[in-house]
Amino acid sequence: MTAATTETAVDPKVQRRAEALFDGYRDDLARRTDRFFAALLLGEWIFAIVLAVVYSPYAWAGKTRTLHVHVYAAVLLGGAINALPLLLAWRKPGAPLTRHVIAAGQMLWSALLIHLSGGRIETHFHVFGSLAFVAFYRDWKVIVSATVVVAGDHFIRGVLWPESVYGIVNPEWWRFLEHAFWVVFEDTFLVLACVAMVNEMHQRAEQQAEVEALSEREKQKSVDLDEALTKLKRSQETLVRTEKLAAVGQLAASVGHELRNPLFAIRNANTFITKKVGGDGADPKVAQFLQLIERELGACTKIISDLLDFARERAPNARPCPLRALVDEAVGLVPPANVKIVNAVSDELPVPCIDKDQFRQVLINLVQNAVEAMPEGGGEVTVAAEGGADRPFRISIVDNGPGMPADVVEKVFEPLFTTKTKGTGLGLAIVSNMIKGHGGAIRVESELGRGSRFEIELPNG
Amino acid sequence: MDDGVAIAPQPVARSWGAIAVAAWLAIVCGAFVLLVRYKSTPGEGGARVDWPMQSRLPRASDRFTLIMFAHPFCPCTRASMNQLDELVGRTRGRARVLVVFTKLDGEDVTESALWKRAAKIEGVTALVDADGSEAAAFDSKTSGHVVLFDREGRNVFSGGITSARGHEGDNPGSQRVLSLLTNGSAELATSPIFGCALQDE
Repeated sequence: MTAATTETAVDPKVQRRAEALFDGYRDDLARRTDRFFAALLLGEWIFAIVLAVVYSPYAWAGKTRTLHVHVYAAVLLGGAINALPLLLAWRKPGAPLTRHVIAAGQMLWSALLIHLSGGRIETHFHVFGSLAFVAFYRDWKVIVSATVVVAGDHFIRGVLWPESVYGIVNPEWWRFLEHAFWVVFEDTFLVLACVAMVNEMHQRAEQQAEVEALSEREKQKSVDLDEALTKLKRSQETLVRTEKLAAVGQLAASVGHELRNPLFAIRNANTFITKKVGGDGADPKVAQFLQLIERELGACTKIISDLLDFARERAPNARPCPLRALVDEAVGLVPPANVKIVNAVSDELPVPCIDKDQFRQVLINLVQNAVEAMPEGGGEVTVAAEGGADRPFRISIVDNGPGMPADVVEKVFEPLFTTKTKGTGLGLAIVSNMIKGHGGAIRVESELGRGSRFEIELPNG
Repeated sequence: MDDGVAIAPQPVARSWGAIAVAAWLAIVCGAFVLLVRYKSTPGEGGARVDWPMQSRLPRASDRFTLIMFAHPFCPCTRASMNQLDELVGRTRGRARVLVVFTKLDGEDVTESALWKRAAKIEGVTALVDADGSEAAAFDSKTSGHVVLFDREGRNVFSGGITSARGHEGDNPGSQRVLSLLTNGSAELATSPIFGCALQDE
């Protein structure tokens, strides 16, 4: 017949926790029992003094009386017995030495009380009661210490003063062992009880550790679930927002498409009228208003163009396109301002495959944003690039403008988000979409007072 | 989870602990030795003296006569009285038993706890040695001194019937008196006497 055994792997963390809990239980128990014994030892001291004063207050020699030695013994010897146990219970509660000293003190009290009570056989029960009390520590070693004190007391008194222990003058040498035997008889059961109780404490600690571990796992699950629910909620919100944006985008595209032709016609008409009545000799007010109309029509055209670019995402038509030339072209289309624009793209940079029109738009938007962010005193915008061959392209647009606060950086690529008074909030969203359309990514770093850095990463090939 | 960390006691702290425990045990053991020495130091007197002619105490001519001399307030003699009670109980009628109390000036001996205790023991007669002459006649100087005489007035035992001052329990003196009263013989006819001095020292 074969016996199948099932072994449960114990988590080392749970095992360590169980050991810590067991140590905690044992420490609590030892401290509690120390306090109990401190009170008991004090009570025994008081009882001994009262016993001596009431039972044998004076020694007599004829008519002369003196304080009985029992009174001195109760006060001084009792105090000496209590001194170290009480000191340790106060200063070192829970320490192993404390309980061993307390156990020894308790057994010494048995000896003193037997003396003070005139050797009454009933007082000898104090020995057995004390051993039972000492077992409160649930530490079998303490019971051994207590027993050694009892055996030692019997042995020493058996040698020096045998009548006080055995009632005869010349007892056999082993008589102290006979007395100790009955103590050991009780010890046997107390030690077994201690071992059993310590095992129960171990089991309790293990169960507690397992319950805590289970509770912790459940708590972690709850946290994970909360996180998942939060993510789901965010996704739902994003989805709703995206749907709304898509609807708005559709509408904007439709409106933009419908407005583009009339606007084109108006612009042509304005150009014609400007040529006819806005030339030399015309009323300066008329020329000024015609310029205003032309400027605002340009802005409207730009808005409509942005709307259409954003709403109608077009798949990029990627072809090899030298980047340095494209940067020059884009920089040339940025309205002039008191800002130095540096094209730091090397002629030797490998040629990337990109949609030239889309990427020109990307560069214009980023450079123009940087230029517009500059203070009136001017600044510098640098376009640089690296990579190619086996590495992705990294194109950076760096300015030394005022930078952006963190809350702006977070939202800078969101559609309809803008910090400009006349912006549509679509420029960087269009940039982001176009970069994504190329399979790339764009990120931004900014520091207030130090400027901003946009970096585009494009896959090579 | 907070793992418990056991901190081992430092060697120096251990040494101090061992020294403190050793000193404590030495002091307590020394005090016990002093206490035991006091309690096991016998009192004076106890020489074997046959029935003195000058004694006015009643002697039995048909059985043993047992006399215990006692100080009325000696706490150690309480144990001797208890031992006497036990002896009398075990040898009922074999001896005439007298407890002779020392008279103290200004004290009513018959009101003392020991007198009342002696008077309660069946078959025991309590008497007062008004001038201490009886104690002197029997060479008794320590409370708890027991003397035993045969019917001819010969002293067969002189000593105490406790093992120490105020210490109850089996003891050689009691065993010898018991043996004499029941078998007529004993290993020894004396034992130490533990108790207060009957007269001023």
